[in-house]
Amino acid sequence: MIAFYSKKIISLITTIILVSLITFLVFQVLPGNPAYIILGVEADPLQIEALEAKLNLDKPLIERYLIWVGDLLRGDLGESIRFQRPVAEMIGSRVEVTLLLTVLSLFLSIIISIPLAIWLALNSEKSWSKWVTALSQVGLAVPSFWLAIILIYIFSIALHWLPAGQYERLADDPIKALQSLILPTIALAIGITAILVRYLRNNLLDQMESEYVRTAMSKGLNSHEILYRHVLQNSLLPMLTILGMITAEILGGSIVVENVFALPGIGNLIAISIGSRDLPLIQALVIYLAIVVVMINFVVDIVYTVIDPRIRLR
Amino acid sequence: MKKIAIFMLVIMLLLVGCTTNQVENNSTTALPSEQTTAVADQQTADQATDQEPLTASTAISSELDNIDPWLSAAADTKAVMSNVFEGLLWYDTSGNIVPALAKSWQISDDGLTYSFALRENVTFHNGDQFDAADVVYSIEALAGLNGEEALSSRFSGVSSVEAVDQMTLKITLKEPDTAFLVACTEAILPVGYDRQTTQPIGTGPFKFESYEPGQKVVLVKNDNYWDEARLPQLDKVEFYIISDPTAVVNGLKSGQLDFADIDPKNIALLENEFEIVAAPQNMIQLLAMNNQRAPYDDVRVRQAFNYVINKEQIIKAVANSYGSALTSNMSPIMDVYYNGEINLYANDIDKAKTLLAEAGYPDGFNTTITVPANYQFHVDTAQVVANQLLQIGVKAEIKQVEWGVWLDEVYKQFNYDTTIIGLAGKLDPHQVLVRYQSDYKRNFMGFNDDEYDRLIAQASVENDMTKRVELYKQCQQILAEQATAVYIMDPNLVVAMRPGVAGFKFYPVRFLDMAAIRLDQ
Repeated sequence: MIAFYSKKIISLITTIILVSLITFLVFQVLPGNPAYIILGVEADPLQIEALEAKLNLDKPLIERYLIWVGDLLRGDLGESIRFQRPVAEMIGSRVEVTLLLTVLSLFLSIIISIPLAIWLALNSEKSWSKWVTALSQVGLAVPSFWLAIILIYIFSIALHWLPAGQYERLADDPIKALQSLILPTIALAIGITAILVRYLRNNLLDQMESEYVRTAMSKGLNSHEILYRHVLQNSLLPMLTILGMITAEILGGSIVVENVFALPGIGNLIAISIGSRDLPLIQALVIYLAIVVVMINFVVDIVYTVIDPRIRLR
Repeated sequence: MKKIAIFMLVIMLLLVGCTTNQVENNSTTALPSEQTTAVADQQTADQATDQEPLTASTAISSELDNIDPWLSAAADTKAVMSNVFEGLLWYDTSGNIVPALAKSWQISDDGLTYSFALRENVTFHNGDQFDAADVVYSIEALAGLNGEEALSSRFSGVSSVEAVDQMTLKITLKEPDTAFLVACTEAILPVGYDRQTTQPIGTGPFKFESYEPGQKVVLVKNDNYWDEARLPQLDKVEFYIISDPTAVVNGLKSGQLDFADIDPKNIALLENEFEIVAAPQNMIQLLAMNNQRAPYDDVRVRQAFNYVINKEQIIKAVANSYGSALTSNMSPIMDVYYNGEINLYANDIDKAKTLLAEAGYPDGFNTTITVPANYQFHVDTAQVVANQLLQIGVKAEIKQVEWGVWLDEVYKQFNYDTTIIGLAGKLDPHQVLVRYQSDYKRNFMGFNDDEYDRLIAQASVENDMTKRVELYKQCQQILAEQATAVYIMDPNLVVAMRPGVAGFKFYPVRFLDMAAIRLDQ
């Protein structure tokens, strides 16, 4: 047990060091100076110099990186170069949207995909079932940003049913907050639903051909009982693993979708921080994402052992 | 047991975000206690009359560079924050300097002493009374007379600032500076207030409420604004940050935005439901050539480009005819300073070919046009320009780069052949033309002309307005003769307003004057 946790923690630390180093290296080769990006071509050269000095940009990048590592070890994420606000506060204020978006789209795809997959598996011989399965291929292929644009066009511009963006904080206006999340949730959920349906359907079909199903059949159980009592339980377990991966995928997809819908989430902040070469901010964001992904996989591992006691943590 | 502990940890990790969020909300909305009660009173008043705050929404295309006015330079930031801050003087829609926090001013005959009579009964947004102490503090900070680094080179000529009495101010300059009156439009901030970078306050018709990066800037009405004539009708204004022109159209069509400036290409999508108004915006769109790099170090090559590039064609193709052709680095909207007599390069392909041949390129050459990819307008222009250049055998490859890369390669390192960019105009011609002074640090076109340097220096100390105007006109003439760049157009600012929105004002600098906007209720 202890060995398991220490292994996880070591892998978390290695991931963080690696991602921060990679981000740092990418920023070294990426052209662009934050002071110029902030002030643009209208600035008085005096202003640019003053800002560079204020932001320590006159120091070499490696020195700034070491200062940043030192601060991080003391628990200080530093200040955003672009916005001159504490990074922790900026990320904190944006967790709400991304968390809601992730949970909602995951929830939506699960409640759609499980019954749909069962239904497709039970009717796998029928030709329309094959058509629906083929349709899920389309769901896989369609990029979420394209879906997002189409959804905005139909539901915001043509029909005026739902807002495109204009997110209000949950605490300020819960109805408006959820309304503005409906379209982004759908845009994200369609691709994931397609993955889950295909995965679960194939899994169910595989299981139904296995020997314990034949045994159950020969005992005289009807096919529904076999499906819900045995096959489904065995098929849902591997789905947990894929859920871990899918959550990471949603976080990636949210970068695109949040930007299309202008939602104030983590993904939107990532795009801003890269555009403005805001090293402290992007470093903190990358590390935040690394921690979230490692943690989710960690939770999946634990849930695994709870559901199936045969699996032991090693 | 351990498992439960781990679960709790994970949940806590996820919740940390939400908690920080609340803390932040409290801290940014925390105001001095007086202020809080005032706001509370007003809210109860609002609730009593049972009215929704009258709100107008519009769009800006880039993030605010800084909410502290002295640290900001971007045109979009000025467009928003000029509603919050005011200078001693201000400007009207024709670019004339008008009284603001100063009721009147006087300049001594030697042009060295400026006296201002300050306006009484003006309060800052935190309730503090405005007086000479605030002006002394502001000018000293801008000029670097307070022992710290100067914040603006426009004030580097100030030798002293003195409060004669509570409402009279005297500023002394080291040498005459004809641009100083325009510099006096710089924001005056209250002395002894140290939260300007988080909760900025000024004296303007609107108060700053919040700025969420990537989202919007919110301002609310200043009920105590001193100028009855400019008292806003709107209770609240929202500036959404939308960089994609298509998203602006979507925002208008979905009702998110009441009005916004749009890409002229999108007029056809909106003109049925929206009122479209347009005016020159004092911006110089140009094809800049690296004067320090071959073949553009040869004036004949630059002139050949000027002969071959057809501005009217570009304006028609790219700006949907919403643009004014330019002849030099000055927009016709700059009225008195604009040199309207320059007419050097009527389209002439044979002449262009001859010039190129004389310069040693009878068959043309290969070159690149570096354009910032986020400005679709400039990218489109580059495409038309590249096509036109083919007529004289010049094959231009269009290199689209990200904005940060453009600033670094072109604007900072001067590492480019040609580029297309828009330079926003200023109220003061010196600030527009100083770009070409040989020792100006961001002289990215590498222009170097002794006569030009001499004229620009002379103009800034010339007290006689007529002579000064003449000097600036000569500067424009030199830029045109030397064919420093191809000055393409001043693209019009095209604004779409939904029915019921009125009062939009065009200024010669970027300023979304929200106090002038009227909504039908």
